[in-house]
Amino acid sequence: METADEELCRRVAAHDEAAFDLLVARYQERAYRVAWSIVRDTEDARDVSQEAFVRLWDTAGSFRGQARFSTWFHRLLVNLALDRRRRDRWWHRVLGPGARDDDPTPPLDRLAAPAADPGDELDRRDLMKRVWDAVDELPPRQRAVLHLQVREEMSTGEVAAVLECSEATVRVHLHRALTTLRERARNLRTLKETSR
Amino acid sequence: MTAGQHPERDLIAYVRGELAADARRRVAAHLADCRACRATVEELSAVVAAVAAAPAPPAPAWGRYRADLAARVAARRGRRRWTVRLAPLAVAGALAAVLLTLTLSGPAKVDLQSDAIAVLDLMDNLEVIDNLDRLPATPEG
Repeated sequence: METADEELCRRVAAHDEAAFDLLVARYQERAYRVAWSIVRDTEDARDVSQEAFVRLWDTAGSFRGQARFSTWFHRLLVNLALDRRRRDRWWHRVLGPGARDDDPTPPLDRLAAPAADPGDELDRRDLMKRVWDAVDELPPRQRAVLHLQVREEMSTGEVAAVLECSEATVRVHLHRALTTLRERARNLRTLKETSR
Repeated sequence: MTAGQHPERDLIAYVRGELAADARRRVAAHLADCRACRATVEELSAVVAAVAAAPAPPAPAWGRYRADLAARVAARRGRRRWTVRLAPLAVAGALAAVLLTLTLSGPAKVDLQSDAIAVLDLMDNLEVIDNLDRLPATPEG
């Protein structure tokens, strides 16, 4: 029977390295994904997610078990990512070229080949690309809520616990994010209809 | 929700299946008679599906990731002890590097800028950098 995350965290507080390794193995992919959804840079995502695990090692003793470990860890991770995004390393902006070096492969090329009608498929891909581009431009907190709810399938209550805000606030963030994305999608449809 | 009112805020919860049974029935009944809200639900569903289908970010080499993480955790313990002793010296050094870089001009500027970035990154890792941040933060979002 698998050891619960909460029990592993208690062992990490006693500096049990095996327990730490197990938690890292369980959460590393999700941590990286969540970090990337906020910072939108692979190097920063790696750095932020690793920092979250380092903080876990340092502060496991502060986990009291009142919330689920997943909630506690995501809170730590999301705060780090939002903080990174907000600060954005001013010295890079002032002193360096500041270019972000994300995967150069266009997002659409990372999708599997379509099977449906080519014309409809092109429209669908256009829509998806428009939505993905719009996600990039959302405020980080809205993007965090969107990713946690839609991609990580966390409930409103869980996201509220992660972000340490009310459920109403989470719903507002999600509403604003989806409204923005919907407007983008609608603009694309209008553009296509007027060009026909 | 009275007759004629569009349950706009409930539509997102409806699409996500988060409404309680009574509320879900009320919204469904409204949708049966309201083409505008049905269109909204359709648009929201398409957007949510697009977000859910977004490609995952390029994954790091997990072996390297774990090795780097192990090194960071190991370094953390040792770093805390000598960071406290060397911090004032490190801060002075970083400040000098930054000031020198910002006041210089000409061909030598590029190399010194790279050095200053490297120093400041190191200071960031030593959690000393927060006190040096004098520029306003970018507004969130």
